[in-house]
Amino acid sequence: MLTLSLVLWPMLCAGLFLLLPAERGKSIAIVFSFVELVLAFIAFRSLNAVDNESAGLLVFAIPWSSLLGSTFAFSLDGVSALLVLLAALVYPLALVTLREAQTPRFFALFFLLQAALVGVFTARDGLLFYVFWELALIPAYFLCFLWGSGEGRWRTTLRFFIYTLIGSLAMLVALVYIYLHTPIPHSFAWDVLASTARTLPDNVQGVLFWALFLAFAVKMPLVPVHSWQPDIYAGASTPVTIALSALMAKMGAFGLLYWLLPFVPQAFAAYGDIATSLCIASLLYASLVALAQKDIKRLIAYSSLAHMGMIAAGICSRSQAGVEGAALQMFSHGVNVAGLFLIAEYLQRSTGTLELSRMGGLKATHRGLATAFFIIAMGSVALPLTNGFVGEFLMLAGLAKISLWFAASAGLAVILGALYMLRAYQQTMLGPLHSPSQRSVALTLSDKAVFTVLCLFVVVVGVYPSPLLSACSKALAALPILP
Amino acid sequence: MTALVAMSLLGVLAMVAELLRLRKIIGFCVGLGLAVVVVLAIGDLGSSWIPAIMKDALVFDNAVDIASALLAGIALFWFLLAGNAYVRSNPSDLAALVCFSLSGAITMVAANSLVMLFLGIEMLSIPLYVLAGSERHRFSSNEAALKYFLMGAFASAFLLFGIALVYGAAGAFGYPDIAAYVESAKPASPMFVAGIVLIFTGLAFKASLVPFHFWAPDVYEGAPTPVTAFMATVVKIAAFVTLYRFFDLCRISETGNVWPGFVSSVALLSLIVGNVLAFAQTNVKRMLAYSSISHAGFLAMSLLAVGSGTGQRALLFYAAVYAVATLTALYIVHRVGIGRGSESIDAFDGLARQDSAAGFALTTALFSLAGIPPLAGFFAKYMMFSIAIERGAWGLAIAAVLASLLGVGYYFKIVIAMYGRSSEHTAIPVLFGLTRSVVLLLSVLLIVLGFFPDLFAALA
Repeated sequence: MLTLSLVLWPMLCAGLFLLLPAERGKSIAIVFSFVELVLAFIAFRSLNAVDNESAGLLVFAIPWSSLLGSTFAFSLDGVSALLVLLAALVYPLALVTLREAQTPRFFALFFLLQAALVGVFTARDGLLFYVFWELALIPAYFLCFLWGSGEGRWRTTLRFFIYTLIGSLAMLVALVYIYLHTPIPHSFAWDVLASTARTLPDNVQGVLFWALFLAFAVKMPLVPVHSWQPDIYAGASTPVTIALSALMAKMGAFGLLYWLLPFVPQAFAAYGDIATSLCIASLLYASLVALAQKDIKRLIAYSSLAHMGMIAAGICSRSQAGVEGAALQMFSHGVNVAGLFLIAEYLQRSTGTLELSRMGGLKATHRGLATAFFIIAMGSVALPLTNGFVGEFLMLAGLAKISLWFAASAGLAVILGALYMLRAYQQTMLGPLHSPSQRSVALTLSDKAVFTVLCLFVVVVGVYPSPLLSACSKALAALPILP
Repeated sequence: MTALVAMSLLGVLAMVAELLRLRKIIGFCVGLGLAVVVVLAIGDLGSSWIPAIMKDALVFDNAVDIASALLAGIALFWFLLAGNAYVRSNPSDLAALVCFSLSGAITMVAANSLVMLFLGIEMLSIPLYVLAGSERHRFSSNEAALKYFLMGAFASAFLLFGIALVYGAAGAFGYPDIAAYVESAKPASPMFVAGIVLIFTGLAFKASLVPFHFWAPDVYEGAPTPVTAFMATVVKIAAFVTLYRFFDLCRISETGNVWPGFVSSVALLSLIVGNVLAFAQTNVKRMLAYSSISHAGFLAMSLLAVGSGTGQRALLFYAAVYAVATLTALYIVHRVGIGRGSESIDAFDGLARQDSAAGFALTTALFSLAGIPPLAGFFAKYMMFSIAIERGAWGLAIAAVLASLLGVGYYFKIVIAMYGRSSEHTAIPVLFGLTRSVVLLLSVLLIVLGFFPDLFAALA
């Protein structure tokens, strides 16, 4: 019931926003998102209680369509609860920092996106998973298109839509194929699909592997299906970019973990190394391109691409450390990238530009912003004692178990990450004051609160990751993914 | 049976109303009559009936009752939306033509004999030849009527020749007798197979399947938009249900292994040709005509599953969802054409800002036609995919996937125009009054059917 309410509440909010008057939309939205945060926190805490009552609380299944063999099944375990918590956490942060007044339609679409995201993370039925996966596209498309900036944005958003649709259609064909091979009466339930897929012959599993991998690769994204990402992240308005980079990208990684790894283990044995190489190639490519970026939002977009490549590599390594590290890193990266895009937003407000060469010396006038930028950047760079480090270390250890070359390349990319992130900090905060006409926009109390929360997450999770890490490992131990 | 009788009586009443000078109430009466027909058809559910007076030429089982209810229901919504378009000129004549056309559709669907099939097709088509040309002062309407008539005559010729060949081989017109012939004579004689192919061709003309689709874009574009809506929904549904029942009741699939490949190739061609050509269109009506060719391809996919319940369910569900979405879309195109004087994509610029109900309804309809969850169109397409995959028709499944993708491309052109571009048109609301409520109801229906696909499909 709790799980269902996590999905239904944002949908209800979206519906309510279509009926509300135009003023005070932002305050109401913040209140709604806090309710979701409370629910997500309760759900995460109740995971620790092992008794039957909370198990009933967290699993929800009613028959949906016997015609289609699908049930309305939602459940939470460690990793999905963590991601739902991330979704619930990022939303109030994104909404509080919103400056311009928005129409109710914006908030309705924004909450619909959250509902779809939570649905993807909690659905335990193949058709339901697919419906929520596609459902996330519609608000994302309209949010990027109607509230974005940039001349060619109809082209970039259409490209985004079509790329994602190609991936999802491949996923649909794969899921339908597995469904038709489940014992009669056919069922789309997750465990039935997983057990059926494992019994399919190896060559079929190979095709299924690549079809599902394509779908998840487009979402994360991975090179070479990534070209929609930088334009979209740079062109959308900040709350939308935060939702996309912190949350929607995790849909792809979550799919790899829950909807690919348990389904086709034999194919993983055959193709896992190729997939890992692809992820590491994506990681290196993104890091190198990020070095060349002059616009801070695009730099953060490419760094997000790099981090997602690392997470995917960790998952494809199939080692316990790699997979656990990836699961935790999904959460950490979500927090970090949300913080980075917020920093970029404030930089734009203060200096009126996003170009790194036109900023400089902001530390003197923007002390709070500089501190927050430094802490979050260090989290992104994976300095020890930050949240990024725990995940990166585990993933590198996992990759080293397969091949030292993988770990070395990934390590190289981490170093490149430090390079471009520190250089970005240097170019914006340090050095001489670039243009004397910079407005000194002081951080309001709510802005400071947001950044404090983010920095706290960076530091606290870095120093004491064990509650999150143990939740992840408990959930992953229950999944039939490790050989 | 009662539904058919009621529909025919309604047509006669509409014709007579002209004589009795009852013009003013004819609209209300026909609307009420259509609702009564829907109720009668649903009331007949659960009883299977072969009326003896027709010498077993008609059969009214569950599938026929549902199809009749669907056809009458679509016609009812059509009438609510577009009926008053003719209020000024000859309302009773046109109402009568539509009612007779519908009785032809029901006859086709209920046919248990090739003679009835032919009768039904003619009853369906001839009023539509007239209706297509009903805007007498517009050249393209006359052109559409002539093209439709010539195509229809051609199709009837094919159909009759096929019927003659089948009669020559099987010795009877009735479906049960033909099924008995198929059982006894394996392999079937070449004359029989040729007859079946010709009958399929005749029906495929009506359903606008490739390569018998060349008439569709010109006729759909030229005819008055309400008539296009009628043609794109009722005629297609009737043609496909008839085709399905013919294949099913006559056990055609047992005559040889050629049918799955034949049906798959026709469906595949329709999917690809329809969507590829739709991409290049700038006139929205023409674009919807080409996209209806690809939807015909999807509907044809259900013919692969003749004989099992899934094929029938998938066909009826897809037909219902497609009809609702097409009605909504074409009606809004009609209103935009009247309000802004053009039916090209540019005429839709900024529509969403000026009339949000129209924007919402058209977006929902287009998303459903494109097959995007959670709208009902996605589930309909999904059922067709799973039919193809279950039978190992991989080429067809992949073509269907690619076709959906192409569909998104051109449907989005309209959505982008509505939301993205601003226009200098004055903010006249495109929808108002009763029609506005009906259009919004249809959009909500698409969303609800998406959440509860069982609602409709459980009936079949």
